[in-house]
Amino acid sequence: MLRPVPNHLTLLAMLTIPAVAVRAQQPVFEKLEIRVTAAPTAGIVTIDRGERDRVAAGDKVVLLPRNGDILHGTVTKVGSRSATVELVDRSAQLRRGVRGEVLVPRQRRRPGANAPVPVPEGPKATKPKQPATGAEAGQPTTNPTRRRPRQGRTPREDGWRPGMPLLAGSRPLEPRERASRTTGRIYTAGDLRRTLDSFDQSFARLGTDFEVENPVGYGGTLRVHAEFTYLTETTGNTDPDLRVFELAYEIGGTRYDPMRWQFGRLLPRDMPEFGLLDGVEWGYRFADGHRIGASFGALPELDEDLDTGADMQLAAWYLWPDTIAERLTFGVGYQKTWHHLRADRDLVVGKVRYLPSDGWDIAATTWVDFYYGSDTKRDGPELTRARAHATRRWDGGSGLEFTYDHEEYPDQRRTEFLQTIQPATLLDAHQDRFGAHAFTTSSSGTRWFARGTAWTDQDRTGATAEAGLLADDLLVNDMRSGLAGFLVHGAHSTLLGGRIDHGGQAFDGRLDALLEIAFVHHEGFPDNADDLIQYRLAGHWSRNVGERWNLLCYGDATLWDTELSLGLGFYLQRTF
Amino acid sequence: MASTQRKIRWTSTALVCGWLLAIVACSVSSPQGRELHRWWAGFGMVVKHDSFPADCKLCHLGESWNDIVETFEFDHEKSTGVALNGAHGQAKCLRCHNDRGPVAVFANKGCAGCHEDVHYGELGKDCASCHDENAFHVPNARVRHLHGRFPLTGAHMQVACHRCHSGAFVRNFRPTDPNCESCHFNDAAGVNNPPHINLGWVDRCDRCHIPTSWRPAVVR
Repeated sequence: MLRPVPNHLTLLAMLTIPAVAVRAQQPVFEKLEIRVTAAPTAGIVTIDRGERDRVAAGDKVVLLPRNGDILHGTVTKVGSRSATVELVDRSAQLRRGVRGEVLVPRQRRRPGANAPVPVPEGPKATKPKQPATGAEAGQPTTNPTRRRPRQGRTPREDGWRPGMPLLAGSRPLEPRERASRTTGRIYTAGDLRRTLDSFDQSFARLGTDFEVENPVGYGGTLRVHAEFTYLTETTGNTDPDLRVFELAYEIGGTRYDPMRWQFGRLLPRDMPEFGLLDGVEWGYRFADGHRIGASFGALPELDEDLDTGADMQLAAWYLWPDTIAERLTFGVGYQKTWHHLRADRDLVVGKVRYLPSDGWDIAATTWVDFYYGSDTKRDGPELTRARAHATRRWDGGSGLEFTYDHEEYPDQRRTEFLQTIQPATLLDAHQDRFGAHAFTTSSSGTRWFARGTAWTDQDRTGATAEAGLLADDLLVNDMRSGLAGFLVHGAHSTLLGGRIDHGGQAFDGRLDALLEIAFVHHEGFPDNADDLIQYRLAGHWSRNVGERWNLLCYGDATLWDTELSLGLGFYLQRTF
Repeated sequence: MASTQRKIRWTSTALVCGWLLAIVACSVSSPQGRELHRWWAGFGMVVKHDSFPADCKLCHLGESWNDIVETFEFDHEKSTGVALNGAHGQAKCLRCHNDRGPVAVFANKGCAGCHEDVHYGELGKDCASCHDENAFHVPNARVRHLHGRFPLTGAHMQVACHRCHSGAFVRNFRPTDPNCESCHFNDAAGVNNPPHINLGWVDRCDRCHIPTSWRPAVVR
């Protein structure tokens, strides 16, 4: 007669058998994430894992470069913290930082399978503060066989106990839970310009531009950009001004909060085409990346005074992305403005941006005004402004750029332009400009470039062309020098000239200098005044002066006919 | 007119003061104390640490997770394949790796992925055609001005940008009408010998003046 099996043995068997079964189903290999730290030759790379991670010769490696390829290889040599991998594709040339995985037998990764893993030495920690506030994790207590936590971090400090996973169960801090952080810069600048016929002007600026994250505990961001400017005009008049370019508080718009509010003096984030705003902006981002928004407030005049209050606006927009990665985006927005409470402008902005993965960057933006009962413009829509560009850059230093611009003057009550716009100008003035720029860099580092522009307006047509090169040690040793020639047919002048420039390390900083000589022909003038030679010498020098301080000094001189003009200036900035 | 400008200035001053007051008020009524980044207690990091070395003290000071050791070095290019050039090499990690979402999504958009379009969309999205990664300053702006309707000659070469582009101080470089009277109409109106306005000389200044200098005028 068989003895009855004790209950506790039955229970043990019930628990053990599934555990063994589960263990048998576990994969034989464990995947360790790796990075390529060096790629000395094609087909061979060094990875950041070695003996301390139980990697051994013969282990299989899979590498995943950013272009989407999947490359296989085998570990051939192992160091303490690195290993050499031979790729199956011996022609593959990888960059440092490429991610991948190495397959290590799980048997080898078990504790005690090999020598103990050395612990990297770090700087000595300082004595910890008193324990932090309540630790929520109620995990097992100390295990006498485990090592005590090292000096500098006591178990009560954060609730962690030996045996607990290091990062399991964690979540990122939300913006409102973070410590307040301020980043930005302060700067000062001065500029003085003078010609021999007493034409002079100058300015001095002192400003700051900074951003405070979570300034008041709600998780928002405060942005401030203001400066004091002392301006001397050509007439001798001085104009001291405190200019506030941005003073805005933004809350939301993070991965925790799809709704975003921003108020103050702000630049609309999704539709900056509507201009600087004193008011409030609201936006909402849907899970699939679509965004809607609206704003209301006053439009400061975009001049040196930034006066506000005369123009009010109401705007709304919608942005459509193809995916959450926003490789293709369409946007449309409508803005209605009032000037001293009188209806002014009906503006529709449409824009598109396309970023195919092969390196092209294509974007276009249009501003369309709608007129009803205008004195100078026909009723209906008019394309007031358009800007489009298509750019392609290659890794080797080559590229192509195409741009197109169209502009007309909008018929509006708002005071936006410094110039006096005559009715005839408002009626038919326009400009269309197409530009192309190509550049390439040879294996020796010499950069060749060519640039051309063609334009037409209501009165004239014109074009420009420029070509040149930039090479190391071309004219001056240890400097990068350039030669360029240009031909410009402008609205009032035609120029034929050349330019020499140098750039490199000098006087403990970086020095760039250029000399430009141009033969200038002024259109429509008598022979004794229409041709002259113009010389321009310019340079700027910059260096870091102490930690986070940067100084830029510049000067230029232009000599033409019998006159000379000079410009001098500096820019000093500290980031924090 | 003057009273209107004064009124506008008072309005903007009041707006700024109101703002400062609101910020102070919000600071006083903060809903909670600011919590520092703690280790356990359910919190984690913005930047994933799962591939970092196990010894936290290699990077962090023992007393605070927000303080990094002075000897901290991180070769961004070596570790990620993305080089941080110029000023980007000085940026703090959280400037890019933050709550907006995966940094790769924003990096794919180029400069506009992180930087505001301070030119109001007027100059396109290809910032690298004028700026480099060292500073926002564009040192050779006058050279680039060659490629337009109004190449700078003579005195125009030394004129500050805002004299023609009124929005230059707020980075609005919208093209300007190159006809002389667009900028010099007031100059002509102020001349009495001969009286330009009375004689009807309000445009076509280039009949007598050359663009390099206001003087001397040429009698044709």
